[in-house]
Amino acid sequence: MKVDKIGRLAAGALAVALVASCTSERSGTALIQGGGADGGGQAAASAEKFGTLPSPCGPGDAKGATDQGVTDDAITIGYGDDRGFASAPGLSKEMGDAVSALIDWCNGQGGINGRKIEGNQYDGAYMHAAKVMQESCKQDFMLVGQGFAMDDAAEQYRVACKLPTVAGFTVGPNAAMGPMKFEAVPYPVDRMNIGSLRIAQEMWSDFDGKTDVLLSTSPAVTTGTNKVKSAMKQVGVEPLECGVRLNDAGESGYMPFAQKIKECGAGYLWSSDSPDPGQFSLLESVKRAGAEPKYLMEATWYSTKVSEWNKGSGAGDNLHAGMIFQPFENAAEVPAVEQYMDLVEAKDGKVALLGMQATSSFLLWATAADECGSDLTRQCVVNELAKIHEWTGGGLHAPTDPGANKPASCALVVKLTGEKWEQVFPKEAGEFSCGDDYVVETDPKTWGTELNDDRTSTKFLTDDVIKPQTS
Amino acid sequence: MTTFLTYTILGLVLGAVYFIAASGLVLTYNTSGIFNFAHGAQAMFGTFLYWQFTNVWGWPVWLALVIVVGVVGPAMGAALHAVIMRGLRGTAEVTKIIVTVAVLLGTVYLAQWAWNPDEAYTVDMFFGGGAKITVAGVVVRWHEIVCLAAAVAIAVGLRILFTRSRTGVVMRASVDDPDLVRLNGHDPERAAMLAWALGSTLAVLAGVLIVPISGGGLDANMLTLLVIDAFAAAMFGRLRSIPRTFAGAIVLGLAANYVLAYMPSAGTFAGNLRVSLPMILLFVVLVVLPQDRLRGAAVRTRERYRPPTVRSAAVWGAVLVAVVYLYSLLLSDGGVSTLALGMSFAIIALSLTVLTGYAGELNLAPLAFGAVATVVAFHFGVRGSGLAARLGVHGVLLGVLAAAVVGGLIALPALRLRGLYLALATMAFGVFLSNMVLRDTTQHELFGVTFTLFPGGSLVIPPPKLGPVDLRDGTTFLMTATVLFALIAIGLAALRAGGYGRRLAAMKDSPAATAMLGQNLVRLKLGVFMISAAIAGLGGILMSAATGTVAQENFTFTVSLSLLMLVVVAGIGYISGALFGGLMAGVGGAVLVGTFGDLALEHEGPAEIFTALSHLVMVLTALVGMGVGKNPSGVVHDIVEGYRAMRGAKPLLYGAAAFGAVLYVLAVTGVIGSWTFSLIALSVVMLLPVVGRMVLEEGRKRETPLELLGVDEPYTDDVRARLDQELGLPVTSVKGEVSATA
Repeated sequence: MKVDKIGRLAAGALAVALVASCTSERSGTALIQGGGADGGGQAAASAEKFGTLPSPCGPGDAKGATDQGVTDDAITIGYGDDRGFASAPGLSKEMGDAVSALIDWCNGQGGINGRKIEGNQYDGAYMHAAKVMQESCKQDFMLVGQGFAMDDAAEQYRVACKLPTVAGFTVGPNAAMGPMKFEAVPYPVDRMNIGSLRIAQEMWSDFDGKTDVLLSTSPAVTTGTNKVKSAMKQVGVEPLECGVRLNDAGESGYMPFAQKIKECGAGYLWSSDSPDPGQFSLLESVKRAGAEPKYLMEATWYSTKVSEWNKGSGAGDNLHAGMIFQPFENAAEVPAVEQYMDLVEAKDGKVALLGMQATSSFLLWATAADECGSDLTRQCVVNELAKIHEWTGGGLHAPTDPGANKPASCALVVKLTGEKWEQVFPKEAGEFSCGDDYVVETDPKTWGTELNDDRTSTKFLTDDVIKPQTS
Repeated sequence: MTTFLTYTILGLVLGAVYFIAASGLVLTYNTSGIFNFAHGAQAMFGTFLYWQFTNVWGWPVWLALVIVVGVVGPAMGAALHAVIMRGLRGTAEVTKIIVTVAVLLGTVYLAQWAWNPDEAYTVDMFFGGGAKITVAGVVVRWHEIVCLAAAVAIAVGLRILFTRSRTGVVMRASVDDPDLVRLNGHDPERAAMLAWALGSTLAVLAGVLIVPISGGGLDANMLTLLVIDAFAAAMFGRLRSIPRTFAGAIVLGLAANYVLAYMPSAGTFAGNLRVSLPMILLFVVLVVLPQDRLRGAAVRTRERYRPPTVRSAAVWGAVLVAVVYLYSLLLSDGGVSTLALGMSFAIIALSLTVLTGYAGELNLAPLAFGAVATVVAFHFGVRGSGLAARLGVHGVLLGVLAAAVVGGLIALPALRLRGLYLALATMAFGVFLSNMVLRDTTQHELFGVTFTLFPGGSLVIPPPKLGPVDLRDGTTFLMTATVLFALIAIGLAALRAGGYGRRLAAMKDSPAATAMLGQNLVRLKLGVFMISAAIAGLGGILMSAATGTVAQENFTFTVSLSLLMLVVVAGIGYISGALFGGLMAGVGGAVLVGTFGDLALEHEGPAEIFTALSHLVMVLTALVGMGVGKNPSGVVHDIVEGYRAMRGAKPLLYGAAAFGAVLYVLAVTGVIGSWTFSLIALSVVMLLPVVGRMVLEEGRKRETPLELLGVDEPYTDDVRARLDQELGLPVTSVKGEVSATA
């Protein structure tokens, strides 16, 4: 029975959203400092700062009901996740937990220019993203830091009611490229960060000729692997085509697949799938078959679920994950990470990678809203957001370009040993490896939507949307 | 050669895995007459317990094994029989299927509640993954050898049990003719309980054996899926023959491995085809293998339905439209679109009413036909772009037509199938479609036309525009769906009341007699299947449009099953049953769970209680399904009967109506919230028959029937005298004599 398949698709879709992709026009230096590294010596939680970012929150004398959801003393924003999804209870719960903790943190300093933030927390429950969006349309100033797996279903309502958003993550191509949408860590459909591939080429000299891509029957994962495969060809990696396509609903046995991988002689395996029991079983079977490939996975694999699992047989001891976020192990070097963990743990929330993403999006929104001062309108926030072209969320992640919907050209790689994750590239914990060639353009066939000249999805686009005005 | 040997051994092991899974199915079907969809879920639950014992509580493997297989398995089976399955005698096939589906869903929800799916669970091999031997260059693990040996032992054991042992014969007999068993001095219930205990033990054993072989990753759904793959093997033995099941399982296991080893199976299409292999085999086995003969005598099942007249259907249809409109005024935009989604599910549920309720045929995958219609409508019916895109009438019609044609095509080979076999055939089709079409994201070229069936893995379905009626507006959508529901319902009532409907009812009661009366069964079945598929197609298109973006997940087999379950719970022979079941399946559970979720968000203190409650709601939904054996005609039947009895209590009805009106006015004016209104209104509707019965009974002085005299209280002289009088005996009352014999 496939009760959980929806959950897997959602997770798979998240994986795709997290494909280490980004782009940037900045000229790359071989190594730039991670945003938080320079603040390494400071005590973590300072009230006026989030990591290296001066806090956008504080007292003030802002006045006026300048737009929907804004009053003299409050700003109403919407946020949320899919925690109520029956097939995968608690899906992306870390998103809502993070934003709710950050709202308290911000209000503790006096809100934004003196206006307190009121949050409407929504539960998309996977199937009800459209309903949630209709409710948000009626009452919120903006949607901030949210993550709904079926955001494409909600997108038409959001565009129709002109609700701008600083999303925590987006999944659907129309949502990822929608008008009035900003993200702290954008994953546009037309560009991709292949930092982990580049790093792998640097770490392992035989990577180009001995790598294969694990396939899945899940359409969401397939979209991801297709992009990666075409990117691999661009950088000179020729996948071995061992011929392993796993049923995303689970296989009856994984040993035959492990056998295939062994016979094929793959030294490195890439997977765009997310960690689930089926994937674990495959890795376990590969180990039993006596093959010892190194794995290069998506950032979704960086989780306690994976490290807990690996405690058992150690079948994941050669597992590497490429990330553009700072791993929690670097909390000592990166105060922002420490601060995120402290804030969320104080409220018994779930600490996970996506939570940092939501945190960064909230901070991005708050920074833009703060700039608007008393005259807080959607138009103004959109204008301010469009101006921000370098953003690290106080050091939570590598610099991205939210204003232009383009992500970072940096990455780091962590490795799993036993139940410990550890940064292995670059060697210095807390630093990223960057380069111009870390970003490639993707094949329009893999976009899943059509873009206009502004790189905006035309699917639901009308003339009546809020566009950034340059003054 | 080593390669060939390796894959052969892996194939044999996989075959053994399939056989262990299938053997439990065969055992319970043979000995209780119930095809246990929950077999895999039982296996899963037992394995989770095993994991809990060994990994968390640190018990030694042998102890955990003894407790799980020796105690938990039998206890679970016996409990299932005592609480649920024994109540299923004399019910229709659909009721039996639905109850096990409910057990399946309930077990999965329970497991997800107890063992957070966000964590990883691994079950190790008995002697560790490293314990292995090498034979002719092929590595075989001890656990795999244990598994092979267990499969053979189970095969031999079951064969002996069924054919040689008295217990086994009694078990089989208790399915064929429980009365005869009773006359021979055996207790059929005891035999059935033993059968369930054995079946459940096999399930648990299967779980503990199989999970480590597949790699050790354990999750709530994996085993249930694996058992569905094993259906083909069980069908190969026609659910009777153990040796043939064994052969079927081994063939299935070997075939799966050889296909993987020697055929290209990594392309999107080839990969999907490989995944669908067990379902294709299941369909083929069902269609090709000889079937039981047509049932001769009419078997009276316990389900009772009262078909409505066309006039009353029309009146109630109008009432429904009015009520839904008034109610929609109370709801927020989000609420209206949620209700619209529920109403489109109700339309899909109508397809089950006509097919199963009226004609007695089964379809476990109504949403698959909805998917067909949606895909066709998406490719041929969308006009305009951006927010102005609409689904034209021609698209909707084409989609419905396509669903009907596909329905006919599926029904054609399956026409000779009945009951369970037909149900499994539709299931095989549903899963196949879901694998092949709804995952088909690559471009094809056929006759010079390039197309992609399911581009990107999800389809954006714009709102339909039916002539001047634009369904972009939520309320318009809701009202259109409601009117469509009412119209189809009236049509179905007319159909049921007409000659065609009576022919369907005849076919349901006795196919053989119907055939003998000169009816063409093939045409009847084909017709009703096409009608049903068309309705499901229409509902499916509306459902997709109400959701906005649909993916494979919106049409899965599980969604179909829970819809079917809720419709049966409500009463599959009733149009109102379809309404209730559809609304519950479409939105009910999600709304309840969502409400508790929201409460948990708002109140940090008791958040855990609310989270637990939302889990409980999911488990309870399944519990409701399990209870259907007690009341196979459905909830609606009870309510309708309750109101029928109340026709005498006119003042009460008027009073309730007045109360409802006041309540509504309060809600419209915003004095009470729409939630409060919904809850109070629902309670009034449910409780009114109960209150009514009490009021009605108060009027009459109840008299104890003669035969029950003396049961509650001792005989008095008066009573004895009266008894004598009634029996026509001479009055022999002697004063002072104490009745010792009474």
